[in-house]
Amino acid sequence: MEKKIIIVVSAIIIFCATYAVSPVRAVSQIETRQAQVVRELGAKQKDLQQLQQKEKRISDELTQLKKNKKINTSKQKELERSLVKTQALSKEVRRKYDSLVRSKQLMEGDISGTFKLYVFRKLTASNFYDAKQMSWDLLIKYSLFRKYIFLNKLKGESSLYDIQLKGKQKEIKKLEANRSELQKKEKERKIEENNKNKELLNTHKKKEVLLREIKELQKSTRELKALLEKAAKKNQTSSAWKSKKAANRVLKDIVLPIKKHSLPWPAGGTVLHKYGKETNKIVNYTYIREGIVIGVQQGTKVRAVKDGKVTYVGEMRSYGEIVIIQHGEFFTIYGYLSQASVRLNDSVRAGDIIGDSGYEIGIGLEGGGPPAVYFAIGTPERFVDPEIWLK
Amino acid sequence: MKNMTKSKKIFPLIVFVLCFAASLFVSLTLFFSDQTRNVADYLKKDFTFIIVCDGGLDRDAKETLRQNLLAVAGTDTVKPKSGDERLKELKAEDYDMVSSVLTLGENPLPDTFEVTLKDEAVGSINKWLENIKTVDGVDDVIYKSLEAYALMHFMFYTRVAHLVLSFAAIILFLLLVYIFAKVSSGVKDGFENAVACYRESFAGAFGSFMACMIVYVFVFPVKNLSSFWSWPSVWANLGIVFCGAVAGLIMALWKKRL
Repeated sequence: MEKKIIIVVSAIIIFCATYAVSPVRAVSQIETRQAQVVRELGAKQKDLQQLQQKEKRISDELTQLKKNKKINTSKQKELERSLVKTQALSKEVRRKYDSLVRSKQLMEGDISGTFKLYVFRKLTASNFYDAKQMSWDLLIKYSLFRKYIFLNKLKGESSLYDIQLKGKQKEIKKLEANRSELQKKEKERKIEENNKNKELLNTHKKKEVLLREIKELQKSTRELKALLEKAAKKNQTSSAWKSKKAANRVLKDIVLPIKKHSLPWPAGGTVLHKYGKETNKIVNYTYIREGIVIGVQQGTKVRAVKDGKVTYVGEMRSYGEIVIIQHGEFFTIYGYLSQASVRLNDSVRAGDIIGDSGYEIGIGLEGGGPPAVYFAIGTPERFVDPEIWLK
Repeated sequence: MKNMTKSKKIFPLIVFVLCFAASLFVSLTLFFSDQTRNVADYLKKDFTFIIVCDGGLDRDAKETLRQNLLAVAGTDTVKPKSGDERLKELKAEDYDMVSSVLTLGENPLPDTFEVTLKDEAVGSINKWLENIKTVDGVDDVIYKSLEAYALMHFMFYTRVAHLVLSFAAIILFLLLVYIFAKVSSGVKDGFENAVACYRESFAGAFGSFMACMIVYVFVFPVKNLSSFWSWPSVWANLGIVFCGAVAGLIMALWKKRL
C-alpha cells in the first residue's frame, strides 16, 4: 500500500513538476522513476515466485500431515479396538478368577466337613464288626480324594488365571501407554497442522498483498509511460534528454529548503512507527515505510506544518483519508484522518487545522488500530525522514 | 445192718453231687461252645475283604482279576461289585448322608470285589494278604483287621470247647461199653442188678438235671444283654441228664462190685 502512495504521490508531483520545472528535468525524473518501478516490479515478482514456492511447499506438508492424520486415526482406532477387546478379556478373566477363588473356598470348606465326618465315623464305628461300614469309609475316602484333586485343579486354574490376569493388565497398561503416545503425536500433529495452516494463510495474504502491489506497480508503469510520452511531446528539444544524467546527479542528495528540526509536529503524541525499513511480524514481510506514524489521543486536531497549497484530498487505501500539501519544492502528506477540513487547492498556513485524527490502518490491524496520524515529507524524487525536519 | 442202711442213704447223695458237678462243667462248656460258635458264625458272615481294582480295567481284565483272586490259596468266594452298585446300596441305606458327601455330583467309588476266606485260611490272613496284593490289577485291600482277630479267637474257643465235649463224649462211650459188658455177662442177673441200682441212677440224672437248670438260671439274664445269644438244644440237655443217669448207674455197679 505504501507503494501505491508513493506511486500516486510521485505521479502527482511528477505531473506538477513536468509543468513547473524544466521539461528536460521532468523527463529525466519520470525515466528515473520508471526504472525504479521496473526494478521494484522485478523484485516483487521474484518475491511472488518465492511465495508461490513456499505456498506449494506448505501445501505439500499439509497434505503429508493429513496423510499422517489418516494413519494416526487408523492406528488409534485399531488401538482402541485392541484395548476394548483386551479390557473385555481382562474382565472375563477377572470374573473367572474370582469365581474360582470362591469355588476354592467352598471346596475347602466342603473337604473340611467331609474330613470331619470321616474322622467321626472312624471313631464311632465298630472295629470288630459291620462290613458295611467299609463301604461308607470307601465312599467318604474316595470323595475326599476327588475333592482334593478338584481343589488342586481349582488352585492350578486360579494360578493360571492369575497369571493371565496379570498379563492382561500389563497388556492394557502397554496399550494405554501406546494410546497416550499416539494422542500426544496427534496433538503435536494438530498443532503443526494449525501452524502450517496459519503459515499458509499468512503466505496467502502476503501473496495477495504482493499481487496487489504488482498490479499497482504495473499500473504505475503504464501511467509513467503515458506521462513520459506526454512530456516528450511537450518538450521538443532534444537537449532536455541530454541533461538527464546531470539531473540524476542532483537527485542523489536531497536537502529541503528549510532548517532541520524547524517544522512543528502535525499532532502531539509519540512516534509508533519510524521512517525506513520495517518488518511486519504478522505476515513476516519486510517493507520500507516512507513516513512516520504518530500515536495520538482520539480526536486530536491535525495541523499543517508549513504554509502551502492543498494538492490532494481524498481516500487512499492503507492510509484512509489523506491530505497532501505542496510547500514549494517539497510536499507533506497527512494520513489516517477521520475527516479532512480542507479542500483541494485551498491555501493553508502553518498551524491551520486540516482535519481530525483517525486510526492506524495496516496488515494485522483489520479490527482497527490505535488512534494515530500518518505523516510524510517528500520531494518529487524521494521521501525523507520527517523526524529530521520536525522540532 | 445199721451200717448198710446208712451206706445206702449216703451213696446216692455222693452220686448226685458228682453228677451235678460233672454236668455243670459239661453244660457250661456246651453253652460256651454254642456262644462262641454263634459269634464266630456272625463274624464269618460279616467278615469280608474289599479289593479295590485299578482304574481303567475293562470287562475282560476284571474277569481275569476275579479268576486270579479265586486262585489265591484260602480264597472262598469272589463277588464283583461296581461303584454304582455300591453307591446304590449306600443310597438305599442313607440317602441324605450320600448326598452330603457327594457334593461334586459324580460317583467316586471304584469298582471292587468282595472276597471271603475259607475257615482254614483265617488263621493265616497275613500270608493270604501278601499273596493278594501281588495280584495284577489290585489297587487296595480294605478289611477290618480287628474283626479278623476276633474271628480267629472265637473259632479257636469254639474248637477248644468242641474238643472238651468230644473228650466227654468218649468217656461216656467208654462207660456205656462198660455197662454193656457188665449187663451182657449174665443177661438175667445183669439186668436185675441194673434195676437194683435205680436209686443211684436217678440221683445221677437228677444231679445232671439240676446242673442244667442252674446253668440256665445263671446264664439266662445274659440273653437280654446280647443279641448273640444261643441256648444249647433241649436234646443236648436231655443227653446230659441221660449221661448223669448212666454215670449214677455205673457208680452203683462199681460200688456193689457187681
